[in-house]
Amino acid sequence: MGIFKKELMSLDIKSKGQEDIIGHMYNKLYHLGYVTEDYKEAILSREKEFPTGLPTDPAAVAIPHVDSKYICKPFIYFVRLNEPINWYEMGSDNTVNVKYIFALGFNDEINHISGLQNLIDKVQNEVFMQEISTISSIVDMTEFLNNEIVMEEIK
Amino acid sequence: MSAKFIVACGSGVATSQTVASKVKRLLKEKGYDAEIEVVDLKSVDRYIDNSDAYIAITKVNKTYPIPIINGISFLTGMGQEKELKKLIDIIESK
Repeated sequence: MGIFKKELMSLDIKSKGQEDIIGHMYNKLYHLGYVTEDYKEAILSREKEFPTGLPTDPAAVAIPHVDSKYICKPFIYFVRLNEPINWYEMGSDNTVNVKYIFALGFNDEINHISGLQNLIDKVQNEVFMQEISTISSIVDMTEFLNNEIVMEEIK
Repeated sequence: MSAKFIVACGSGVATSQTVASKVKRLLKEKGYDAEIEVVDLKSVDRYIDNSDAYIAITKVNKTYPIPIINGISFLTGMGQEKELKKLIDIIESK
C-alpha cells in the first residue's frame, strides 16, 4: 500500500487561501479517520509559527505537517490548485505562490526521514514537476506518486 | 577534530532530520565528514558553544557567535551549493 491514496487527492481545485484549503483537506482526513479532531487547528497554528512554503521551480510547493500525535494513520495528501495561493515561506517573512501541496501525515509506523528526503529530491526535479503538472486523472496521479515516492514501513 | 553542525526545526518531526541527512550525504559525496546533530529549536542555545555552525530552517531573530547556514536551500536546491561551500570551508578550517 502506497502512502498516496485516491481519496486523499484533489486535482485542479479552486481555493481562496491557506485556511480554506487546509479546511478542505481536514474534512476528508478527519472523516476518513486519518487525523484527530484538533488536527486543523494544530496545523494552522503551526503554519503561523513555522510556515512550510518552499520556493521550488517552476511553482512553489508547501509541505504542511504537525506533530505525530495528531496523526491516526500515515498519509500524504496531495493537492494541485488551479490557481496558486499565497503561503508563507519556510524560515522567512516572504510569501510564495503555492500551486502544489503535500500535506505530510507521518507517525511512527513509517520511516518518514527517507520518505521526506525522497519527496524533497523530487520537487527539485524538473521531470517530476512536469509530470505532476500534467497528469490529469486521480488514479494515474496516485500511481505515479506512489511509484516515485516510496515510504518504508517500520515493522 | 571533526566539525560539528546543528540543525533545528519547529517540530523536530521531519524537516530537520531531512536536512541533516541531506547535508551529510552531500558532504560525503565531496569526501567530507562532519557530525550533524538534530536538536530541538528550544535548546539551540545550549548547543551553540559546542557547534561550528547552525543550519537553520526557521527564522533566526537572534545573533549567534557561530555562522548561520540557510537550511531551506537544502530543501529547495536553490543556493544549495553556496551553503554547502560555507560548511566545507568550516570543515577545512578546523
